[in-house]
Amino acid sequence: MTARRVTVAASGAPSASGDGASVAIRPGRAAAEPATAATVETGDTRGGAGQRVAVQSLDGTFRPGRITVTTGTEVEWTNVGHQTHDILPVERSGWGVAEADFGPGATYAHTFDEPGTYDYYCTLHGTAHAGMIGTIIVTG
Amino acid sequence: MKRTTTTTAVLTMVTLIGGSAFTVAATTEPTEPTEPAGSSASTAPGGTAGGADDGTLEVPAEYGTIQGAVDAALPGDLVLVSPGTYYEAVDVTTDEVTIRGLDRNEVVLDGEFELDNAVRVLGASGIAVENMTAQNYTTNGFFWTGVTGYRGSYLTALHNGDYGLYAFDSVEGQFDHSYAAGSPDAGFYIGQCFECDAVITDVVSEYNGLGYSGTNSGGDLFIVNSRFNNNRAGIVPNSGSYELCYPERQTTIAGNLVYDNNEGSTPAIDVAILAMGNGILVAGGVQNTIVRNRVWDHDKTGIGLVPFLEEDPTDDMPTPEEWDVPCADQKNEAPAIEVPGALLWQPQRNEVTDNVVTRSGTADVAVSTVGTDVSTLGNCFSGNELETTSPTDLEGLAPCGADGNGGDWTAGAFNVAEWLAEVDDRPPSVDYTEATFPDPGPQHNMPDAPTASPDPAVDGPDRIDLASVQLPDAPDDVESTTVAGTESTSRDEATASTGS
Repeated sequence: MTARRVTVAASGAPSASGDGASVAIRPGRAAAEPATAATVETGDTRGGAGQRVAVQSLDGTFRPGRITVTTGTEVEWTNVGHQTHDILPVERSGWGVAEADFGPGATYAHTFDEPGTYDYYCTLHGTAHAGMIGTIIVTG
Repeated sequence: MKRTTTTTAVLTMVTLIGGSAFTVAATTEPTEPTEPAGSSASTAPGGTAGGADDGTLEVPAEYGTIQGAVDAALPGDLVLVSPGTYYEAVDVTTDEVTIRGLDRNEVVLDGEFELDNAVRVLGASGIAVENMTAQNYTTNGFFWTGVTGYRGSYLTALHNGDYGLYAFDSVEGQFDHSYAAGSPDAGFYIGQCFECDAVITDVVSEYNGLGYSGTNSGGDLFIVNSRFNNNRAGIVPNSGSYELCYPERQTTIAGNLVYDNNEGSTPAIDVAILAMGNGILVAGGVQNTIVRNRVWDHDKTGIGLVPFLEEDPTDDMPTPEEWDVPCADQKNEAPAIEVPGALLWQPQRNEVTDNVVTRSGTADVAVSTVGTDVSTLGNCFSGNELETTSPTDLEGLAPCGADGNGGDWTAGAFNVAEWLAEVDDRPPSVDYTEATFPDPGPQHNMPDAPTASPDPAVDGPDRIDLASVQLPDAPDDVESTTVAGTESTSRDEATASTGS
């Protein structure tokens, strides 16, 4: 995949450059660093104590698939797909949501108080390393 | 209705993963997935585990379970499964393995309405699954996700909770000579890919919610030489932001028999109930080619181009200039900062040509939308053998490759909004675990199953020469109506076979 770098100009209007190819940016769309093919990532550190960051659970994909937040951030997943999903952490137990509680329209939230990397996945549409997977990176 | 579950309290969760039981206790470290006793049982003659020096791993002669053989297989190997019933949910993570049943009708994977997928391929490329039956799974019969290279051939999928054969976020694939019935969503599904480089050919899909469903897929995607009948709706590609890589575009639907998709006794998701009574229904898709299909006996439209209303979308709508953005690139885009409360995906720039469409309740061929001048959507219609269109004289209003006659687009217009009002009056879904449908009988076996070489899905799908895809003949016991009305179409069940 050709890497495309997307930058936000000083005026705040997004622009695209690189490789002679243009990347269409829709109005109001946040600039994002290029990601691996399997996930949608954001490179910014977000959130903070008492703040909430949203992750969408589409059918087959968590978006953003990888986010970085600071300790004390509440991450809220919303199932915006048409299918039932779940969230199972690969390690670091104590959070996640079962299929029965994460149907279409449902939300699930967890506050990450400890720094670390939290990989997770939907058991119905992925395994620990493939398919519908996501990562929360928590910085101190 | 939204519910929120927080885990500030301790949480204990038990879930089933691919035949393994995985327990997460709130105060202990998670255990590694294990194979619990009985979760991979079979009723085939027993065997002992062993190596496979010749690249063929025999089940159960050498491996007691299909999963055991798949786990031991190397790229290029053949897992050859003897007749029997296998109560397994097989996960495949090794590339380029061929998994084959010796007898399509006698090698049966049965989920007992407890296991999720008969065969699930996660990220492993080149997996071919052949010549077997999957039934009674809670989600899918055969499922590929996130792969390059896949093939399902001579497969039968019955009574599975989402799809029969399902390829998601995958490219370079093929479903052929397969049969699917009894799924609430669709018998066959290809979604979230552009360009998909995929083919569905010589399949039969009946008594499902949808015969075919494809969300946000297209680009070298061919649905050809197949039969879709007695579903709620037949072939229904659609756009939506609940999966990535919107919109749906550039699917070619050609040479198919599509009939009697009015079936109220099937399992059905909400969209299937909404689409009920339509043969080929493009719901908010763009740039599709619908050519040389024979379509008859639908309560609504034989071929319909309609908008798809999506409430609470996850993103805003891509512009036509973005339709050619490959899926892999679009995935890297963050969603819009401000998202509208609803999106109305419009059917645009679709071509409907040289089909034979008869005995439709509302119109043989129709295009409709709301809130937009339908004449500006760029769809075109030519060479179809039909009796009714909506609007009237559709082929005069919007011929392919020529200017329209400037006529009245409001004459005989199809009120798609009335559909929404009818939904509550339609038969509700039937539980897929209880749904009944005519016994399809034994299905064709693949040639030379015992001796054919492994055939991993590494060379891409069959190449389709669209010009050579013909309008299929009407089945022997069904006469087709021509524009001249010299014959009448029977509603008797067709006996057409497409070789599946």
